[in-house]
Amino acid sequence: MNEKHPGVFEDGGRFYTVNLAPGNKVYGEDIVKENGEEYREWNPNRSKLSAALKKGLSELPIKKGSKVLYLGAAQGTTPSHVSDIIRKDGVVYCVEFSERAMRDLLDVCETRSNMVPVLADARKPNEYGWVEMVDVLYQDVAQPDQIKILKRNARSFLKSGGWVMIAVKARAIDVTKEPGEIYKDIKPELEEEFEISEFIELDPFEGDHCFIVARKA
Amino acid sequence: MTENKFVFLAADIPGVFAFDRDKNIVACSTFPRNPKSILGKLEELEEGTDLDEVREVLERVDTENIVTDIPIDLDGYNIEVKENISAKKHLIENLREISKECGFVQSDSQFNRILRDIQVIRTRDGIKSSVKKDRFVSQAVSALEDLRRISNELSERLREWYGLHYPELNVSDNEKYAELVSGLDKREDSDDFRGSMGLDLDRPDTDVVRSFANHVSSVYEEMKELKEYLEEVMDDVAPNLTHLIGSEMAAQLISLAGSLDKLARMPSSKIQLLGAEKALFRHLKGKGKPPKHGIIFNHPYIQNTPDNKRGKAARAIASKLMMAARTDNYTGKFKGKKYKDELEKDLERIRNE
Repeated sequence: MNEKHPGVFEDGGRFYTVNLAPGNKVYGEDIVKENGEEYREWNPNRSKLSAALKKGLSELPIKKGSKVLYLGAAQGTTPSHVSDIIRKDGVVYCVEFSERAMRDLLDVCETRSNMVPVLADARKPNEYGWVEMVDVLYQDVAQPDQIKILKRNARSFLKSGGWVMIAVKARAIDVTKEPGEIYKDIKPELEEEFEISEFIELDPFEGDHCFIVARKA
Repeated sequence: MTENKFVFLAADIPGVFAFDRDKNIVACSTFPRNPKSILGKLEELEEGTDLDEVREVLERVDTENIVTDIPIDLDGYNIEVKENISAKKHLIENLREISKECGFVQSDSQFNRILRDIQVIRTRDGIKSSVKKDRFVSQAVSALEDLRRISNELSERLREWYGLHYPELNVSDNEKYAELVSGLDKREDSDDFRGSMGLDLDRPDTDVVRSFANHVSSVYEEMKELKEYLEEVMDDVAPNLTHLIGSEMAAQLISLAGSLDKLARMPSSKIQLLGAEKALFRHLKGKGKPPKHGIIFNHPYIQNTPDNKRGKAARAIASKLMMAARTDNYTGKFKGKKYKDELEKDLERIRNE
């Protein structure tokens, strides 16, 4: 195992994180034991963040001790790896609106003391106004107005100098447009409030998706 | 002359706090670090119960003038209760630091854990209170669709299988076929048996087929019960929709929309195309014709309309469905009869145009 990013390990072309809840799997991922540590495989076909790393994301703003607000936590696949990376002193607030997804997410939160579930609509940050200021705002919501949602949350919860990481599903923004066009439209919209540092297309892991990392001025 | 001194009282997860004007903590009383009891205490505070923690904090404060958002009323104090006080905002914004400062928790990880525990409980309660009957119904209609698919597959298998033994058995209805086979001891017992070119079979062989047929029959039985159930609850959940297009299709619409609430928020054009998403996106990508109708296609209203009028008919139906869904979701009144009469008049006119 060599450490590709702080807390993210690589072995034979596969990525791993150190399991914060040894003995527990989240989505049927492979577990490898080495030197008394339990490593969970991080599948790029299941997690867009893993796909972005696989496609060469050079800097991972999520680190040990980070505070993360995660919009669109779904069943908790990617958040569980975030939870592994930030360890016990970090915290990830998992916002999810779908009750169906939340039921699975709750099971994951119960085994991980740094994953705080929030059943709310990411469009209405006031519903979870008690959340503290965070270092990283992660968004994977597949909504046409996702950039607007991102900005609204960044204003309420992101520290200045903090990072945003977003997965964009072109088909969710406008099915009739070409993905390239959509990405072109998104960039200036983001640049009004953030400084884009990386832009990565996620194919072949996710078709018509891109991943953007940017920083709040 | 002495200056009037005020303290600001606020409470959250770690306990009850008194702040001065400059947001310094003048006194505090922490809650026991148990998520259930914390939630219990916060709830009691909201209801205006005077907790020991509140009294404790007030005893340590050297003034009688209190401003707070907790609805309390205590003798001997001059308490002003108002919402959105800045002390509360300060407490929430600095919850982690204050929790550590007052000794409620010793570390970040301990704070994370208690926050997680509390949010897990709150979320579970939130889910519990928002699951409504319509969600239950949409599962029932999905189950009905599953059974329909399965029953067709099983019937096909049964016909292939039993057909080897008695190919002459000519019953076109799947349900009756299964019923007949499961009740038939020997093919010779059949009413219209006139010899067979099928394979001759003995007891154990015919028994397995009959037992299989029995199961197929029970699937049809289950479907019947589900339909009856749907009719009953749908009358309760969405009487207007049900009156307009029948319980099964009304339940399907709710299931496709996700809930009655979501259906009621949809424009009629979207209701018109529920179930035709594939065709719609194909069209939007520039291939294929725009779809005229989604699942409402299967309704006799559309089926009995000539091809070239179906688009117009679908729009008329969808707009009435929209009104019915909104009436069901927001008013609970029954206007189904009126809607249905109006719709049938419209359809009559469209067909005769």
